[in-house]
Amino acid sequence: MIGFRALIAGALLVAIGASAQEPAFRAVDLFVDSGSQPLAAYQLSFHSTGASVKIVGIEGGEHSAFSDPPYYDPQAMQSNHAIIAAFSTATADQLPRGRIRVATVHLRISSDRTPEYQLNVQAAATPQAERISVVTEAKERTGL
Amino acid sequence: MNDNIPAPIEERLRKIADGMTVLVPSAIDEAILSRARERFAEIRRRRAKVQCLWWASAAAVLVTMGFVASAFLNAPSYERADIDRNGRVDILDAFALARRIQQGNASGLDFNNDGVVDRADVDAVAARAVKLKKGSA
Repeated sequence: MIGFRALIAGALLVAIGASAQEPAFRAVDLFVDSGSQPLAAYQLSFHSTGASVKIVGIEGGEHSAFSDPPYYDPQAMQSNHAIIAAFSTATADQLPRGRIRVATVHLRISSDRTPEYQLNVQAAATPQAERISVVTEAKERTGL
Repeated sequence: MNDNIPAPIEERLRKIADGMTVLVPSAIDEAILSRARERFAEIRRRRAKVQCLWWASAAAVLVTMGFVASAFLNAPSYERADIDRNGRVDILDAFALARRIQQGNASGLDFNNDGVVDRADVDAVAARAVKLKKGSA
């Protein structure tokens, strides 16, 4: 009987210890490379898998054309999936070209497993609204 | 009653006519009958022609309605916010609307039904573009 109680107590301690584990916060930068074309609009689908991850914030990018927070569904907060989009009606000479950070997703991770990030392009366009192919990357920020 | 014939004479003539048998040659009888038959046959033919025309018109109307209905059913239906008509709503639709507003060419694109076409309508289309499907969040 005493052995059984000790087993229960041990299990409880392990459970309490696990739940008391501090969640980690990470920032994931989303990059779009439009090559030589000016980027006027983008729409990306961001998905995190492999760990218990919740999106807690989404902020704008580095270039002035995309520095405001992008459009996203508020339902994406507290989930692991978001569709992120933005556009700018600025002229071509005021728009970014090449590789730029268009947004940053802030995550709360509550497991030891390493999350994986999927980023897919749903749309990208030039100032004339012509669809273009772009290269994207989701990169976890280090040194926070 | 003829007013030009004096009444006594008319009376006498009637009495004579009532008492006599008028003999019409059978050839004339046949001719009259034949012409009457021809006349009635002509009337029947005309009625049949008119009926045929009515049926043809009704059939034409039905066929036309069928074509119109088929065109409506087969026409691709676009969401109102799908401004570039590519079959889906994405940020490029919001971008297209923003460009039209900038160019002063956005009449009739009042998506939030507030009576004006402005940035709020662009935001409404963009919100539709990034909306997560149920169960995907």
